[in-house]
Amino acid sequence: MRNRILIVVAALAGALLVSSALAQWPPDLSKYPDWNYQWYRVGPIGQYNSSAPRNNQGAPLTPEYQKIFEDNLEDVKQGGQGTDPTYTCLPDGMPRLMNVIFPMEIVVTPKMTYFLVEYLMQQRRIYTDGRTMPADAEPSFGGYSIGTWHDTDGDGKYDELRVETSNFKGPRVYDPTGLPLHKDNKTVVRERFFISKENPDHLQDEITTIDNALTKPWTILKTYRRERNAIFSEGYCAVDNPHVKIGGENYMLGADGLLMPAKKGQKPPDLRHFK
Amino acid sequence: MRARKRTAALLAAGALLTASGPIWGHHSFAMFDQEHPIEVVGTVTEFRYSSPHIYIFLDVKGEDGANKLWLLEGGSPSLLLRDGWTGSSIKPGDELRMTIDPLRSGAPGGAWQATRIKFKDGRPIVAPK
Repeated sequence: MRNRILIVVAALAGALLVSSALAQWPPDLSKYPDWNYQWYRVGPIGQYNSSAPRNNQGAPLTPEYQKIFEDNLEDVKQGGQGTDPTYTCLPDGMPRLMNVIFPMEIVVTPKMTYFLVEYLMQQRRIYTDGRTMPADAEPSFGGYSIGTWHDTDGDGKYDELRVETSNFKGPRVYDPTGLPLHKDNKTVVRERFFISKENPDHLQDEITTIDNALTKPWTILKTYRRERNAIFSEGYCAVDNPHVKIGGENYMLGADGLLMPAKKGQKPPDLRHFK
Repeated sequence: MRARKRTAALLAAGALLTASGPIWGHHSFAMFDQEHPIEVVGTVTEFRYSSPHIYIFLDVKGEDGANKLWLLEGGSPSLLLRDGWTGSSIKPGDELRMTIDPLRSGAPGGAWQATRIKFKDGRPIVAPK
């Protein structure tokens, strides 16, 4: 009987210790890398894979989605927006969000790492608390991200964050060229974040996209430059956006607030409901 | 349009386009004719220093003598602020000379880059650092 009481007391004390460690504040960040800075993209604005020519960027598209992409380019030649939905301020979603057209801030905590992207004030939450992908989460443009920290060089400190993101909604494309992702939104994005061995102020993101618009997984590498003198600004696209979509066509609002054609020879929208 | 000096503008803007690259932002700029830039001179009626794009409302006298208000879309504050741009870099009443990529439709709209606009008297909008 006495032994049983001792076991129960020991178990309770252990549980209290664990609970105390989980609730520790401030958290112990000594094992985590110091990525809590503002980061600027390295490379051209609005191009997903800057290491390949702009138009196809090396994407292994299926024949069906290659055709969708080429039709999109034809529309763009006429002044259209093709398959790119974001001109009306729809969010980028993943993986386009990591183009980081305007700077991002990273905040590392043991349970969660935040990516705060200035454009559209988009945010990514990378759960690093050991959870698994929930079965009932609502799909989103940014998807649901679960990460794990790794000590790849065995020095006792984490140096790499691996992330898997899924559970998307769309429409999403990779960048303003209209390079498409599959409409079924079954995309899976796997990432490895790590500091460049050549430059300690360069964060790199190896992004592998698995998507039914691709014939095989597509891996690219992105680089971000650490900015130690951070200046933040707001990036709410909808505030003054003059680009509008009516009946599937893109138009612009003029300086007088009235509708203007965006394409040469473009007809006015269908006004059948104005009687 | 007054001061629509296509030939000179084409040469000058062509060189600048090569130097600074085409305009791309959060969306395609395909509605703007980047291969045929023009020059417009006019008076600012409004300066919207908003993200992701800055807008200049420019009152421009046309070739027929009539004034027309142009909506001109530029870059982003978050990328220009480190070059010294602020919400008061341009004010209503300022006279500007701008090389722009006009809307393909011919409507009074266009796109501009910071490297291709200046005050009418030749001063830069923001003095180089």
